[in-house]
Amino acid sequence: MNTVFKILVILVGATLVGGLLYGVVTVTSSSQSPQFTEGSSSGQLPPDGNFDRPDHDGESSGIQFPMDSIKNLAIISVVGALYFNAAKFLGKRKSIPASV
Amino acid sequence: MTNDDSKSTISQTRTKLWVDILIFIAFLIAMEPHSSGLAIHEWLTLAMLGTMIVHLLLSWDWIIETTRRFFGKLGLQNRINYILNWLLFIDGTLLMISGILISEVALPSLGIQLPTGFAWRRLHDMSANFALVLLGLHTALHWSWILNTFSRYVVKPIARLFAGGAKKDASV
Repeated sequence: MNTVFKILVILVGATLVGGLLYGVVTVTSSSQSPQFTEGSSSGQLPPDGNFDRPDHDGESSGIQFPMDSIKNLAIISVVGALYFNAAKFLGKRKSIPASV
Repeated sequence: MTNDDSKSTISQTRTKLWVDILIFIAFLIAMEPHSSGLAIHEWLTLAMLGTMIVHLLLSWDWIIETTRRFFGKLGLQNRINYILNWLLFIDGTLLMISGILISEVALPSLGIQLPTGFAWRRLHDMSANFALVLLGLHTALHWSWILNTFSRYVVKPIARLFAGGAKKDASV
């Protein structure tokens, strides 16, 4: 199959999934809260506490950077280890013959 | 399998390994916008979209084959893997859309301003945390492939390089 066609299939799939999610989120959130455009002249401001992004450029760096990544790596490892143990446990349970 | 086919498979596997390593490192960096900075976070994740497409293209045959066999005869691990991959695809799409909608650097620098809703920030954080868990499971399910491929294409060539160097030293 042509590579361009495969890429199109992936993009169409992502667009369908994304469109569906966008529709669901827009419908559910519009019934709960108002929308605003950042920098718009409508005078609507973001509500306190919700839109203040703490993650601006260069606010914190240095030793924190590898530590945060190591933390995420540890989470991935723990999830992986849990999966392996669960698979092992289920495998053992399957191999034990049922007593009559 | 002809010689050309086998060469192509080897080259494809090697490319896949490096693409996967790249995605994994980029994901770890992108997961911490507090530390790496918002500009790196946003541009890196947009660039990851391209590598994700390459990742899917390299796994295309497996995706098609498993989709065909999903409701028929298929092993449990393959079935779990397939469902998990779909969850990753949906979560990744949500992560990307919510990221684009709350973008403060990448999109505004392109002159695009999007209306921001209340839910998108929270959804972005939630889908990012969920992606971390899914990536852990995805890695665990492919662990033997990762070990084998890493050993074949990274560890062994390096070991051969050192062994070759030691032989040369001994012959001098």
